[in-house]
Amino acid sequence: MSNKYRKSTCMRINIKKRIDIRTKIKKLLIISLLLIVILTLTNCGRPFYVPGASMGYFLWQTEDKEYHIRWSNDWVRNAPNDNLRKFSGSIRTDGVITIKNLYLWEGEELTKDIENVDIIKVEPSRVEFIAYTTNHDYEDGIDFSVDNETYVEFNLKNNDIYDLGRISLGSFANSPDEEIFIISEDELLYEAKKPFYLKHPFSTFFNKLSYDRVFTNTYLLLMGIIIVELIRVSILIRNKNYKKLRYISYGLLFLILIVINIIFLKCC
Amino acid sequence: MEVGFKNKFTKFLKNILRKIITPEIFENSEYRISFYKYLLIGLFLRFLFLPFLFQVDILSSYTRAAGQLFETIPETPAVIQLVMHWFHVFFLKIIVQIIPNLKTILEISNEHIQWLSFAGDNQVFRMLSVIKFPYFIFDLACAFLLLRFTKDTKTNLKVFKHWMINPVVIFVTYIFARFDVVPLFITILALYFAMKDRKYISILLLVISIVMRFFPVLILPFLIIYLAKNRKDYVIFSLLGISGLLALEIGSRLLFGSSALFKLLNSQHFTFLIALKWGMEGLHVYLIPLVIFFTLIIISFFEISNKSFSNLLKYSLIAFLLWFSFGYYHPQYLLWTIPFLIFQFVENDRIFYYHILQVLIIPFILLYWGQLVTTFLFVPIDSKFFTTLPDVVDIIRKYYSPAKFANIFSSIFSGVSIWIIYEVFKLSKIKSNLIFNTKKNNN
Repeated sequence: MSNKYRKSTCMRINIKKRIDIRTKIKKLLIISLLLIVILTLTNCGRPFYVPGASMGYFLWQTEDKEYHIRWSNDWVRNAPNDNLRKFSGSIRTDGVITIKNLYLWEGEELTKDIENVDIIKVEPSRVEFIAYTTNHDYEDGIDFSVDNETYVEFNLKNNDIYDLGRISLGSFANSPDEEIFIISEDELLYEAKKPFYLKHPFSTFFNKLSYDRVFTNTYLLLMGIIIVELIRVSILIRNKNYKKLRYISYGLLFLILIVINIIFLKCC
Repeated sequence: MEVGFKNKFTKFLKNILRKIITPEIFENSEYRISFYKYLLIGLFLRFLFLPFLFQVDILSSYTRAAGQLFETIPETPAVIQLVMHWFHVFFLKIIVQIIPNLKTILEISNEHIQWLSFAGDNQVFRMLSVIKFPYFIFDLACAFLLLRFTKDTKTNLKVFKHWMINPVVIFVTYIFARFDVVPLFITILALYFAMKDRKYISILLLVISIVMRFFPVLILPFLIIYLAKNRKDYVIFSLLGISGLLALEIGSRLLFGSSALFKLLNSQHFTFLIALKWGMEGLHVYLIPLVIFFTLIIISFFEISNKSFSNLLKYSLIAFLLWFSFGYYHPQYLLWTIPFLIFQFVENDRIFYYHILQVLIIPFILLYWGQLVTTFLFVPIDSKFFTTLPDVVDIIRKYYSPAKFANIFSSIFSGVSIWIIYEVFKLSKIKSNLIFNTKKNNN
């Protein structure tokens, strides 16, 4: 094989390899983007928390109308008493409560030797509980259903004080406004089914954007111009109808900004 | 007449653009388009993070500035950061005209409440954009200055591209929101004048950057060796080199009655450099590896016959990489290697891939600082959500010691850095293929 032929073959192979790699990278990026979109659009049905890392109360409701409440302790190195934390409170309703399951419960009947046992007192329309968590026993919970109710009232304390910021209702960081709060029928279910842009952190993010419209519009305009210019110099510049496409691109940008202002910033 | 004015104005704008982006790029359409693309991509990446993320230290800088401006804090700021303090005072005076609400927030004395008030404010994105804007200006200034170092336009464009898309630059300036890009610009300017053989300006600029941020002192010995041609030069440049710190010391004693130098030597930042020690059993004596290797490379640079500008950049890079291999550092200090590294990327592709490896390891090293550099960065988006979200460290802690986990990656980072040092050292032994814009052409 002559040197020139070898060189051109190698060049062709290299170009082909580069194109293959670029195609693979593009495919990977598209798949990742799709995954992110799918994940943000789908709902988990329960607040996100990591037992032993998250601290607070987490409440949700499943399709069978069963309520689930969990409390978790975070882990603190060298904390006194193995980071002992008391979760206590009551659940009241105008219906009838049925306890379905005590989750990771360390009650008196289960172990006689542990110091801080988890206690639950159940009445037809009221449940009271005191539970303890530590660095090593970091999660407990109650699963229950309520019949013929119009409301369920929760009174939840963390180390005997109210910490509303550490209570998540239906979705993470969706906290109650009052110390003793009421949840109406299926409210938690509806909260979990809300689209992502109405849940934290997106709801707060979009609220702030809609509050500061001057900033938001300036920012979106700037980013829009950058994207349009990138498209212009990378793709459009090689097109025969370059001038027309340039005007169309900017026209589209302004249209999108107007639509965002009318629909999105107004609604949030 | 209107057409005449329009033409004049267009010509005026073209002249300015031509000077800013260099005539070689401006007059060639292909280079112009490449430059424009890199600029747009860089701006997009910067604006993606600029308004939305921050680390609490930027608030501390502006709080101290507010204390000075509005006389709310009786104590004076740390003398060793006096220049940066006045930099923030200057910009804050302009910023409060645009965002008066910022003054109210900066006057809150409790740091935690101030942080949450700032992050929870409905105009937080606007405030973040404005307080980071000075850093953005200096970041762009660095990029445009780096365009002027070599004679080859393609090389300059590659250097510009690497700066504009470098994740460390974007992370430190726009996500972590630290001011290191400001003294870094002065340092790059010092190197530019060194390249042009403007010796005194070069040394003075480096002295200014040392006064702003202590770390450029690591490259002072190399700059002196590069610029000095005789013993008289060594003496003059060495005296000039320490003049900044001496001026700071004298000023501090006169104005505040206390020593700046001893504060600096006893400060956390200086301790970072000499944190790693090799102890001698049974004795109080220990050796400091960073000082040993640093001394070795100074002697190595002094002894080489080819004290080219290219080698000055290489040895300066080695100095900073030695620090990150054998010393302790905060994440923002990694920015100091980037201008030196990007010239090596252009010379040797492999160094670029090792740098990518460094960048991939950095998130694991950040775990040392826990939520401060993970979830808390996102607090402006939703303070309630991100202050209560479990941190990666909390999750790791369930299974393994986070400190050990971070230390393993930190050690890998040191290994990669040492390998880059070795590659760069090898390159210093051969003639560089980069043709710098030196006065003497001794590349």
